Amino acid sequence: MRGGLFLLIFLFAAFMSGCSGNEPGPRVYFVRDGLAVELPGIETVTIRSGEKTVFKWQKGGGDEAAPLFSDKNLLIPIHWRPGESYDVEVRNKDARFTNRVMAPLKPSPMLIQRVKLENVIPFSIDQGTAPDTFVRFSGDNKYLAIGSFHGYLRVVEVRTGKVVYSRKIAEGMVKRIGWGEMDERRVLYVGEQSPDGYIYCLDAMTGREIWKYRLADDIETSRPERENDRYAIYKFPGVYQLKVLPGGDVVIVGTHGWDSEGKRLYRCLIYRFDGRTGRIKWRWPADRTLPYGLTWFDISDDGRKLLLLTSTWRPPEQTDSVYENGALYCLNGDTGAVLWEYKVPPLRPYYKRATAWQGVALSGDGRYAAIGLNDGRGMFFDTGRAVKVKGKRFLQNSPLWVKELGTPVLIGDIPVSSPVSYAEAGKEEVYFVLPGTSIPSGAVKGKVRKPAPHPAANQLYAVGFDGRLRWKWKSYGSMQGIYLSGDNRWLFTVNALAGMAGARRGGRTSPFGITLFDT
Amino acid sequence: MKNGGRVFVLSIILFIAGIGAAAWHLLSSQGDVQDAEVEFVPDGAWLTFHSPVRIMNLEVEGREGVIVSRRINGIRKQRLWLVFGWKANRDYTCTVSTDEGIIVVEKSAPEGDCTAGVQLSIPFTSMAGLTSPAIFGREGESSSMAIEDNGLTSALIVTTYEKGDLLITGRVTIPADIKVTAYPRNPGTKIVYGERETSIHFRTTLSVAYERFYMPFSIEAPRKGEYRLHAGVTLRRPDGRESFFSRTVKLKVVGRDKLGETIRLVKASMPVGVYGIALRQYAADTLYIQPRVFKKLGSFFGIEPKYIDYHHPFTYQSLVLENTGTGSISLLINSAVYYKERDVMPEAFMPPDSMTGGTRDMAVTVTATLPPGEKTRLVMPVYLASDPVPGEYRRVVRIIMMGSVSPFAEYEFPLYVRSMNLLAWTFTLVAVFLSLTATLVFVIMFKRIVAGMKVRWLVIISLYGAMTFVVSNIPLRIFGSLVSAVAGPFSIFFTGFFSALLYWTLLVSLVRLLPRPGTVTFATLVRYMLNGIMFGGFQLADILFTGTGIVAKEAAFYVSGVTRKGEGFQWSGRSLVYLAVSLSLADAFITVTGLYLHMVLFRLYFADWYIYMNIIINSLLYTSVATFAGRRFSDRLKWEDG
Repeated sequence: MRGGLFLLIFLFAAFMSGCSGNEPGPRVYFVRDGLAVELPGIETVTIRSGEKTVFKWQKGGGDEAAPLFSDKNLLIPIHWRPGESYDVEVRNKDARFTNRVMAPLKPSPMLIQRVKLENVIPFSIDQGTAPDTFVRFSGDNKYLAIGSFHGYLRVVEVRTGKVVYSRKIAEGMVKRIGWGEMDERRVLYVGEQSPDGYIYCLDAMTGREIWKYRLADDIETSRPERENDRYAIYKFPGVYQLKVLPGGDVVIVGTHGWDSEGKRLYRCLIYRFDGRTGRIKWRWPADRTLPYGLTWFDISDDGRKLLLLTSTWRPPEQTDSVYENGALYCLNGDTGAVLWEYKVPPLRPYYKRATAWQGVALSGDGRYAAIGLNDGRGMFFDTGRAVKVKGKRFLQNSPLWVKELGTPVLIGDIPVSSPVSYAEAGKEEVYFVLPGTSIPSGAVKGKVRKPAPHPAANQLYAVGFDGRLRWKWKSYGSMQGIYLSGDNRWLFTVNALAGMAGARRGGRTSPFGITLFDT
Repeated sequence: MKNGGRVFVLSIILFIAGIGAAAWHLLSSQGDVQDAEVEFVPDGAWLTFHSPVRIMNLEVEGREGVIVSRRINGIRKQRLWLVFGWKANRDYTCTVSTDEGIIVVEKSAPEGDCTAGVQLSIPFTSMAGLTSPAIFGREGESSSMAIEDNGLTSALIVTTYEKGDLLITGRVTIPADIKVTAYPRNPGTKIVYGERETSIHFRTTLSVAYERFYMPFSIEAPRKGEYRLHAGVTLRRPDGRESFFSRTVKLKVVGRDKLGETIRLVKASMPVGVYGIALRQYAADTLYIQPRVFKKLGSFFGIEPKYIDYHHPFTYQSLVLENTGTGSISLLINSAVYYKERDVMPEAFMPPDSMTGGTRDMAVTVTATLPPGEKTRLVMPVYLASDPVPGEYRRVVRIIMMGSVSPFAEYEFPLYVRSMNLLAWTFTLVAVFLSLTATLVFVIMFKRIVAGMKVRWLVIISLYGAMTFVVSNIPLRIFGSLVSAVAGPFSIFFTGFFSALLYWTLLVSLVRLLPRPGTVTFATLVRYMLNGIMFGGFQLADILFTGTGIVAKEAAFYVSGVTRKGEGFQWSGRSLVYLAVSLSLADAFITVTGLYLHMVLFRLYFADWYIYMNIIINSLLYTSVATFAGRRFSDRLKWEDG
């Protein structure tokens, strides 16, 4: 009788599990590089188009072309065309499934792994700013390094999702990460933003420290002026851009901007480190810090040319005797010497200075340069066109063309502009991202919430080197950053913010995600 | 056999329960599946759910088969953008798998090809949304309003959504009575003045999808009246096909006074919450500034003032505007705080520099579009950069029509800044004194107090302390916020039921069981410790509040004779009235001390009426009733105990 009871309980459990809503079959959908098949314990997959077998995969068959993630997500590399039908047969040890699928017009993204980070809360419940997180794949895409706002560095094995290690590295945030190689070992270069502003070289697989350098020794440290300043972290010295060069050297920008007694102070430097020893090969400026902001730079693939733009939101508290504020500098990547400069003229009458965020881009070969400015202008340069001008210390360059993409327009009597916050240079075209709308500082009476979006806001422009608009895209929200694949073919941008504050206020979420373009 | 029968019955029950649970699961999940709306845009469609939903994957199917197939991986979304090319008048089926079930939506694509969107905005206040049918239709007419002799920024915007050289030509015609004060500077534009109208001719080429022709201009109408402004736009494709778009704006020009009558500020409140809900328990039009000495005291004891980050508003004000007109109107609403005697903003009220971009006049401005015949509530932040000098100021609200320069209406309200409240100080100091004294007495006399207690009594006291925590603290913790949100300052009617009525009922019954000094102290300490451990609360304000409460309650029971006479106390009607009065007064003192402690330590400035209401409802009414209820309750307990 007791056996009967167990049987009933078993039947009941089985009945309930059948009601749980889990879909028993495999998920098959089209992704950019082929077909994704999801099934726990997947063992074989056969894909047919009509009578023809297009692809056959067997677990343990040594087919490296079809990577399997976490023993259930398989990526099958086939070339598909919209409208084509495929019969997909999938087996695991329990069952065999057959699906007929038709290729859509556009591919779907494939979720490979999900990694849980620390709990994060919005910076400001009113504004919903998301805490920074930085991710970087290793060169062979086998590992992913993740730096978090709370100072944790994680290295994750991509194929299995296994966290190789998680280590709190910074008394601040992990700001930038780069992968390198030393004696056939993987190494990580990690830049933090913290009171010390360290850059570390670590063994990528163990997190063991190889060398470190304290930027605060050069660009100073600071204390928050007010208690409980949510944005205090951004007023500490930090590594705002980090690039690992083919030879193993590391180039970074150390940025430190903070408020003191009502003044805005800046101390910034560009460094080139020997990646193996941490020895400084050169720094710019060589004998002092720069009293202007440096938030970004770009460097050619061979590391021989480096481009940066000096800028400050407010008048700097001091000026440099040699270098100018609001100026574009092209440096010799090997020596740190200035190759040429271009003093960007402010866009009058609304702007007194030319400023930029991450809108500095150099083509891979270092020949062409593009800058996106906060006043809405995009500029394009031939880096080999600089000339000697009498009375000037450095060679002078000037733009081949200037595009007024997001320059101010009047809405009512309020001028609004759309800053070109991000720029990237491809093989034959440059890309400008205008993520939103702003009001020129000092241009309006009164504190004004933006009355309406600038007509060019939330847009991505692809402009040919000849200055002609190649293509354009309008996002339905803000955009953050622009990233170009190594072969310059794929471009992606991050759409909007996650609207975390909205989510906390009652589950409302704003559109977010990424958009991938085939350039 | 008996066992077998029991198992059989148990199995039947289990099975029926399983069937029931499964049916509930299936029915509830079906019932929860929500509908979704589909809006077609030039580059796809927007899918909107009524509430956020966890989406697994979705498909869009048309006549040609599956067009979109996306794996969403269980991300929670309320809106989703689907990128695909659709054809006019065709049917599309959207299938969304969610955690709540499968949603299937069928929708026909609209007429028209959405090759281009044309928008004529007078005044120009915003880009029209892509789901707005007005920008894709061949013909469109709208109406708007302007103030005489006031500049109005306007614009024509043409956006293409397909690739290929599109020649855009056309003209905007403006009645000659209206002056064009700023001309478009786009290449290929020219102005032609006629006797009856002024024409702005334009010609441009758009060649890639999403490319936009934006032609701004400004006009000014010197006289009242109704005018018609028109834009005719021709799109010529490379294959020679042409499309013509016509847009008309009926512009009603009114006097400043007339607009002031149409748009009225019907209500202004301050302080309000971030969503504009009035905080009626706080004094109206008043900001309370914490005295410097208390800031230091608070900082010493580790108490954070409620607002310390000056990048965030100190408080908010809400303005309710009514549009009695027949059309929507876009406005700028500007608010500034000035000295009482002059139009100068004190530095303390200036919004943070990062929010203003270092502007000259530091007023706070927001935008709003008011639909006709409706009231709209606006919430505006009030900033404090530093502590202003206590006194009276002016809060000036100006309403400006979007696109215009001068305000058409101006309102003024007083703003009081208060700092030191003698009463609050007095109560705080008394609370500090009583708490310290009580602690000292308790520590010194601890042995004697405990020695006089039987273990059985301590167990009963602890039990009662725990019960007061359960019936008083837990409901307030669970439902307090909800009740406050619903009932606002009147939530004390509900919360007082738990915090006063039930609490005092239990306390009176306990003291009747054990009429000794120290009973209330131990019961209160048990409740305090439980609350602190479960919910946190070992803060200065709690310590002062609890210490004062113990002294006041012990004193009330002692003075009324209950703990002084012990078993000899007669629970007659007269004694009971005397006890109710004593306890009510003690509770009133505790309530007022709590409110003033909050004022001093947390800068919460309560309105006088709110304080009085608390005293009358919580302290006098509920506590009195609880005294009688406590005696009735303890009658039964006495009997059981005996």
